[in-house]
Amino acid sequence: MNKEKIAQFYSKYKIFIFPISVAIASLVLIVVVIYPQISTFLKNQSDFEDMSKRLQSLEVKAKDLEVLDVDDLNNGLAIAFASLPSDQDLATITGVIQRLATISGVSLASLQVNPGQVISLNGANGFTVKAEISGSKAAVSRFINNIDQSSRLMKISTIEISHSRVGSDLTTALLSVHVFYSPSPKELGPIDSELPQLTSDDQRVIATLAKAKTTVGFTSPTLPKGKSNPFD
Amino acid sequence: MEKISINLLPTENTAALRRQRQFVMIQTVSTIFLLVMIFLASITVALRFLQSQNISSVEVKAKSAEDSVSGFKDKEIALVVLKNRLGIINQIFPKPSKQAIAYQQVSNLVPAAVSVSSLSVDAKGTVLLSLISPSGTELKALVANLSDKKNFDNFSSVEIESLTRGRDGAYRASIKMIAI
Repeated sequence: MNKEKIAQFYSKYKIFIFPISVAIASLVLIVVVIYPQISTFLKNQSDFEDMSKRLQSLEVKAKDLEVLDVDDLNNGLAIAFASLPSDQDLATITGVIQRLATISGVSLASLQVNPGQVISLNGANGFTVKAEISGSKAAVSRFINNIDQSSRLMKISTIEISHSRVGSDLTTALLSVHVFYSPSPKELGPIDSELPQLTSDDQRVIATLAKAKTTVGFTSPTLPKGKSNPFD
Repeated sequence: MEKISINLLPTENTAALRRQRQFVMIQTVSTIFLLVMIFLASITVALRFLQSQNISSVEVKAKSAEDSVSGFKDKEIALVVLKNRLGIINQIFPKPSKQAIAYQQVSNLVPAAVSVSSLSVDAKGTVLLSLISPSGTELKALVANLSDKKNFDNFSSVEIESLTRGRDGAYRASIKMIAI
């Protein structure tokens, strides 16, 4: 009885029932399948592009690291750390200044290291060393230049020059020198971070430092020596 | 003579036939629409499946590349540290200090006959020069050198703080300069 009624009802209104059923089915398909799939697809597509870029950068990084020469790196590091140590390295600095005084031909009368007075410049820390020297005008000038161009990174901060006698070439100078150091970076960054490249400028700096180091380290002094003990 | 066309079928049959045609048309259109929807749904599911496979493949490759990079960690640390240090060195090393430049320039500008009693360059680049000149000519030459246009680029100001002439005829002067 019911079936007959339903059949009659359908037969009477099928022209509406069929399209409405199709519309409902389509709507369900859209809501349950098509929309979520497309939305997830688009979201994943952007993630996929990011992942592809990351993969590409990782592959490039791995390839770049593979071809890096360990000896060159270690050599560069040794030069860079000799120039800019990670700590104050007080033991070395007195030797370096003594050697520069010897090379320049000045006599080092006193050397005062103030490791407590720390200054900051261009990302590096520095402490002050005061050096009292005496020598000819040319030798003092040479010493100032050598300090400024030393492979161990330091810069003249103040200069006080006096002449003992009018017309005399003997010059006494009190120099304040900023000696730099910089702690090593503690964090390496994420694994997919871009690998820094050593530019031609960097190579030039390494070569210059190596040359300066050789000049300071191996030139046999032909000029008068400074005092062996600056505190005498 | 015109032909006369007479539909002998009952009018209910004609209406039923028209309704049936309408229904068939709606049914066809609806069915096509539904099929299109099913096709679209299948396509999106297939695309998602392919995408998932691609993502998995990239993840596997990325893991392998990460392992490769981790294998060269020592090299990477060395390179990062070296680059960091060179960056700092490059900013400080090539530039001579303002004080050294000022000292060299002043030394070069002082005529040989003029005796420098004292010279100081402070942290800000202020140069104080005390000198003794045997005559006015040398002093004039020094002032001319310091005021020269080509030297003026190195100092923002040149000031004679004091000038005295002694019994011996020598001039004693204090000059203050500010290095740029």
